[in-house]
Amino acid sequence: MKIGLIAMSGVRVRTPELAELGVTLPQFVNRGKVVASLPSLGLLTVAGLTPDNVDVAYREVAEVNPDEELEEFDLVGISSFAAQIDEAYLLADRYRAAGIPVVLGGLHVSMMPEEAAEHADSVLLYGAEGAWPKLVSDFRRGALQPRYEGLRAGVFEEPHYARPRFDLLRGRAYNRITVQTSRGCPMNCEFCAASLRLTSSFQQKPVDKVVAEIRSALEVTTHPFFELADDNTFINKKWGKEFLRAIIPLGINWFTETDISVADDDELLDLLAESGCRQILVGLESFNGEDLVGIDPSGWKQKHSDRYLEAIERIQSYGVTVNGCFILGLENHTPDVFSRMKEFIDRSGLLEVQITVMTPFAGTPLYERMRRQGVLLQERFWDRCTLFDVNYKPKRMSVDELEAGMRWLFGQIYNEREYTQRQRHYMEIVKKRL
Amino acid sequence: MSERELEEELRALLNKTSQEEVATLGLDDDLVERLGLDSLAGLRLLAAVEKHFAVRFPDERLGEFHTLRRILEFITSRPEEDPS
Repeated sequence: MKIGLIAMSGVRVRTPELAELGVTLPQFVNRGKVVASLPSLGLLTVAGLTPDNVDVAYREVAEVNPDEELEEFDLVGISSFAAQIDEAYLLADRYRAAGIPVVLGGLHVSMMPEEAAEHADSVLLYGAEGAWPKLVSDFRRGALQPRYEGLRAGVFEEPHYARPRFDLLRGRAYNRITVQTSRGCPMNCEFCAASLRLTSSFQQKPVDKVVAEIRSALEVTTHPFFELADDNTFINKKWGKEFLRAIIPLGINWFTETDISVADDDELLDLLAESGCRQILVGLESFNGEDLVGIDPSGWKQKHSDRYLEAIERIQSYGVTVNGCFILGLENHTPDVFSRMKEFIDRSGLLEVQITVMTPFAGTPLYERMRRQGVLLQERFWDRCTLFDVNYKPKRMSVDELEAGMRWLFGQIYNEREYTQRQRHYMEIVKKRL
Repeated sequence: MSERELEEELRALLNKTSQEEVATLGLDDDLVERLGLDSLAGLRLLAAVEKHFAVRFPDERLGEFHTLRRILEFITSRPEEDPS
């Protein structure tokens, strides 16, 4: 028996003016491209959960070619970002038409199971832990069920945990490998469409399991740069320090997403630098506390926004660059937000900046709110969930103003001169630390 | 310092900075590609060269210094960093 696990890869900006801008200012889609080119950790984990006596093949598909011959499998599992979900459905329809059963899973499918079920023999919701082994067993005895629900807690505990099959990446040219240390985030930001939607509470993987996964990935790749597929790695500082001490001997370079509170802990910052952390991505969202009201239920981001500048400088002084993420089109944003954001970014000394537009991904509280308010521009817009295409009517400006302002800001932030200045800033920080 | 000595010193520095074996690296090999460096690692390497040899690469040409030969040629031309 052979199972094909297929990850839909690649994301394309839909708004023509923005797609054009991506050609002249390649940096602005850099992060999106990196994310889209990462191997699918979800499917490698599914492979790890598959019984040893079943063959598994891992494939990536960026675009479905209806004339291309389908690779033969006994069962196909497909996972996709929201932006590529229609391609995933096309591929699923092709396999089913060829008589090969299809299972669809992943975040979008977990949020929109009824929609996905129209294109699948079975849908797998939430994580695969606690569901995939049963699904395979049911399939083998001809009793595949239309719907399976994975665990939403205890996913890293035995007997449910499985190490991702990094060996399936052998011989492929990946320069970034993902490893997950946690699932979920207690902040629960309204717009977040990450792993917190798959869990009932914050799930932390034991350090020894993470280290074993990194070692396993190192066996099959040359000079990988590790990307932690976490929503917020350093929620638990005690765990964080234990983890950092454990990976120092591995000599790796790595990146993760976390919040600004890491700046408060000198020991943690020292360990981050020593363990090869080259960049942390921090969702700053906006430069002004008033813009952040209601972003997260506890108001954490708003409370911390007045110390962004100090925290960025402090983190970067350790040689760990901060990729500051901002969202355009928040409730409070007016047409002057673009110039004010440029001014803040200039003052911040951020070594990398990611600017996206507010995106109401299916299943998020933001999507539900916007749907209730009737401000979504289309009923179905998944292929435009690229983080750059505008899909709603902003509260305090027009769609055109948001799109034009975003293009203006991209031109200001992602040009060669700004990039060069950030490079020089980083080199001077490094020189101070040598 | 002879060119040979300079090259050895540069290799020793790169070895220490990148923690990769650079002895077999050709003068025209792409450092980022051969050493598997990410873009930040490439910049760290140039920063180490600047500090060690007291030079300053022109900001707008940072992307050009991706081989040992290019770096050596630049160091040899010795536009020392202005201490101010």
